[in-house]
Amino acid sequence: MKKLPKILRIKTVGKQLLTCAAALLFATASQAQNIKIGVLATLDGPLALLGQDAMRGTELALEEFKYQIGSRKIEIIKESSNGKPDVAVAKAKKLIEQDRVDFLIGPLSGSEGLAIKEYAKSVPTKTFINGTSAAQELTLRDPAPNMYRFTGDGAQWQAGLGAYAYDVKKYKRVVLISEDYSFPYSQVAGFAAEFCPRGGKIVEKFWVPLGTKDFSSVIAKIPSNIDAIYIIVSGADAVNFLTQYQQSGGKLPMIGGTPSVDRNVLSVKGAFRKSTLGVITAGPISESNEDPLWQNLVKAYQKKFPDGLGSPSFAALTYYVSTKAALTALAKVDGDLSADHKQFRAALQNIRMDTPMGFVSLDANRQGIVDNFVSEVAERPDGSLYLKLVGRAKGVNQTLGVAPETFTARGPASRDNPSCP
Amino acid sequence: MKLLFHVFLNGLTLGCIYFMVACGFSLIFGLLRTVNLAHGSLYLVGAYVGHDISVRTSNWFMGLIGGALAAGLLGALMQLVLLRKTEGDSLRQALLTVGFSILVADLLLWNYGPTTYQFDPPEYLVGTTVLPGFGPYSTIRLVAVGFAILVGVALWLILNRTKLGIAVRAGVDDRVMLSALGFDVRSLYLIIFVLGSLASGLAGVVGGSVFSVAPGEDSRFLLSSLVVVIIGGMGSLPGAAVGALLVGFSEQIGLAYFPNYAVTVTFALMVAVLAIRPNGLFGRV
Amino acid sequence: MRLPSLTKHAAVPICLLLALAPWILPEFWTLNILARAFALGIVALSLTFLVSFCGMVSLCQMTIAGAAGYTLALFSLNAAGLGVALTWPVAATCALIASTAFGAAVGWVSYRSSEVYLLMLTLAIAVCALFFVQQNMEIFNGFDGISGVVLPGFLSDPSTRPHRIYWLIYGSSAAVFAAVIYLGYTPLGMTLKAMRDNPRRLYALGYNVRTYRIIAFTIAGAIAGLGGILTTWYNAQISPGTIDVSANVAILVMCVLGGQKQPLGAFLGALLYILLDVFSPELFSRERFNLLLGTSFLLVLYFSPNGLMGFCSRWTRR
Repeated sequence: MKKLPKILRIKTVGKQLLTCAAALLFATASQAQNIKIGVLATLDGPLALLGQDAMRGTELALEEFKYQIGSRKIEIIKESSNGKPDVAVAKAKKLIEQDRVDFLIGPLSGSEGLAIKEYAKSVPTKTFINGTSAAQELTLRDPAPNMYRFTGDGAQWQAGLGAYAYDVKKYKRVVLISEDYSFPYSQVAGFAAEFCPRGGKIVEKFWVPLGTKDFSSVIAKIPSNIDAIYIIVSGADAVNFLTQYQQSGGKLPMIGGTPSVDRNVLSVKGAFRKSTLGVITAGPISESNEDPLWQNLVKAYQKKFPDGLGSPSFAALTYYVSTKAALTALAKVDGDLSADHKQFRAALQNIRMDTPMGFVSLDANRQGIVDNFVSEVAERPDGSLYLKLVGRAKGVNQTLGVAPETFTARGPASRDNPSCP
Repeated sequence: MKLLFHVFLNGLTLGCIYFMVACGFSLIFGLLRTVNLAHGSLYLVGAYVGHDISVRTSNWFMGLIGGALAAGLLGALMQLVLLRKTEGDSLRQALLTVGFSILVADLLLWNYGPTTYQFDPPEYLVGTTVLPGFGPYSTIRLVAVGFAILVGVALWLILNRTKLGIAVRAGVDDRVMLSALGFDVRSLYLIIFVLGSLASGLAGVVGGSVFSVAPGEDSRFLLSSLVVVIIGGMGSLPGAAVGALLVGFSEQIGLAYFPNYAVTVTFALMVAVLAIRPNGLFGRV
Repeated sequence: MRLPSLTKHAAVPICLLLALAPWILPEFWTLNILARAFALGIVALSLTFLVSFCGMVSLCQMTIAGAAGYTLALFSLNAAGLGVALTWPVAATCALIASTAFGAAVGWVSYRSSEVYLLMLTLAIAVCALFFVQQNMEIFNGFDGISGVVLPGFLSDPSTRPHRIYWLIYGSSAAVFAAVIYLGYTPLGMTLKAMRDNPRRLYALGYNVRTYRIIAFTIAGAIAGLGGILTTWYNAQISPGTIDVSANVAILVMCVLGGQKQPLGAFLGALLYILLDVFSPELFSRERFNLLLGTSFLLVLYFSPNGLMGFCSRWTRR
């Protein structure tokens, strides 16, 4: 019976693994007084570089608290997702149900965040603190009562950019080239909220499927009488687009969404970097921000991670701020996670703190009210590129200063919403 | 009109890169009856190793040669270790190549990390060329056309003007007869596998210069090779060329005029061809 | 289909143990490992059925399961507000019909293809479906997928849900497994196996080979659909990531790792895959899961003498 040995082998391996797991479970159960925090970031897949940086941000925050709250030590359990919603939920389940973490920090991508929100609703006794996920719907509509986001959503991250593009740069007609999913929809909503009322026009929108590498035909379709290209792509796709645009002889100035010219993209070596000079963008980071909190964070990052990206990316910053907020709240209640985190959640709701991205507080949907920074890509004397601060919007809330009913009445951001004309 | 010409050029240049990858895939299947589902990994190895070498020697051409050789070596390894022992079992070989591609992809990720890399070709190869009556166009894409022609002509010469080529073409039609006539079919297999891998590695460096080098490119080029070869026909060089151009055009036209469902249309085309003419347009197998 | 004697003798105690698992094992084990493994195992079973009964390898079984999953999600209350909410028996039935129809369509389109061509065709179908679903916002909600799928009433209470969903999945797996074994003894099953061994002979005997291929794919579609329904309820969501190429390849890996000729192999393979997924961070390295998986897959394929490879040798030697 040739199949017999295989079955036995698998069963033996299975038994060994069972024993291993049991041992681990018992071992972990005995350290009940430790506070266990699960951290979920995209260490695999196309967002892996951002995920790695996100973990760095969390570590920096933990170090400030010396991995301890009161008399209880903090234990960190990291898990990696790959940008896909179902994997994120599976890993979150593992953290909550196998590792029995007290609360979870993450995820990173917008789509993952929406899936985790639904999962959070099914685990009301645990608390979820968002990492970077910037999907609007995470907190705008039907939020989870146990999920907190201390950072901005995609629309908040473009606050100030529309105004700067129209008033200062005098761009009146722009064309949009963007990846086709929910996060860019919210970014466009944030940009259009300022750009369009001033008279600006988004002449045409080119929604490109996720994972497109060859933008040459889209570039060929860019109409001639426009002032700038509003580009929202991330990571490797951003590098591809900028390279191809430059090679095709294009000379239009560009407006970048938050991930389009972030630290991740600016640190890639290549000829395309010349074309990024002068691109304006907005988000939670501006690298020349003289706020001492930011400068100290950069120094700490460079010291602890000499082979990192040279400066924290928006992933590192958001995870840093989220972790720090969680730990601050935890310290305020002296590590009290009893009664389904009642005190902890009250402390989270009342967080009001200065962070490297400005002052942060929460609204009634547990969404952060944050500052936003408008930057322009500039070159340092040593040839490296950085985001130079050119504008700042303070205290941006999720409804971008508009009354909540009016804002939500506009409907969820999508390919055609908003549109101007 | 200008847009159409632009899209045509884009499709042509993209098709040329696809051709360089797919011709090896097609020949390997034609002669060895092996569906090399690790062909995309060969592309990626060529791209990463080629980039590594081009950075170390500050010479793009060295990277080109190095990348192609690395892919060729890996192909030889695959053929000798994995596939030679399992000859005759096409399905098992296909599955082995699947496992191998998972392995190689992860090893590359481990070694080079998730960062995106960009090649640095010499000045005269990048930038823009002004085409008469049209305007500026990306030089490196035109260079890709040049390389594809080079690879195509080289393979055509080998297949049609050398004794080796005659043996290969005979083998595509009837392997058993070839072996019965006393040809060393095994070394023939190895040579074709290596040639196909070399072309793929070369495509890796050229494609990496046009686009960039990042994890995930292997699946992309494997899938596109699959579509090209199925539409064009297995085991046929002209088929690979025609298929590659068709796929390149369809992708670019799709992206320009209906970006939402462009990829769906390309794959639907492939499903249709497979259903109606399972051997492809020029298929000999 | 003969069961190995170990399985015959150990079958009843093992089944009993598994049924009692929620009381024996920690909840994480029953819910996150066994339940997941059985649900995916049903999808892998659809592939094992195709391979062992009909000698066909399909790389789109997870996509077919996903068709059921999406149908179910769209016909239940969900967070994306898409689709029409129906009662769960109706929604589940529609989902099953969808996947069975999809399976039949795949069979119809591929009736001329064999072996490697079938592999490539089904891969192409999987990619086609993936990109369509990923790009379509109106029905499928694009990349975000459909989350917050509301479970049937008997699963909605969080305190009893873990046990009930485990028993639902386990019960379904046992039922489907028994059905497949039984099918092997029926005339239909024997016809399919005859088609695997020598389609020309079957054709000469007056059977319509094309019809039987379509029937085979239809049955596989139904099995995969059941797996899809269960995984969607288990995850309470579905997205393009559930049906992408790596998910389909994972089903193939499960089938091969566990043993292609035995229906039991599907479940063993799924269990092994899940165990690797959950424990590779502790055993090896979180990031190198694919390395582990690829290596195991290669080793099993290379050295395992029976199953898919054995059949294939018989086929090509003819």
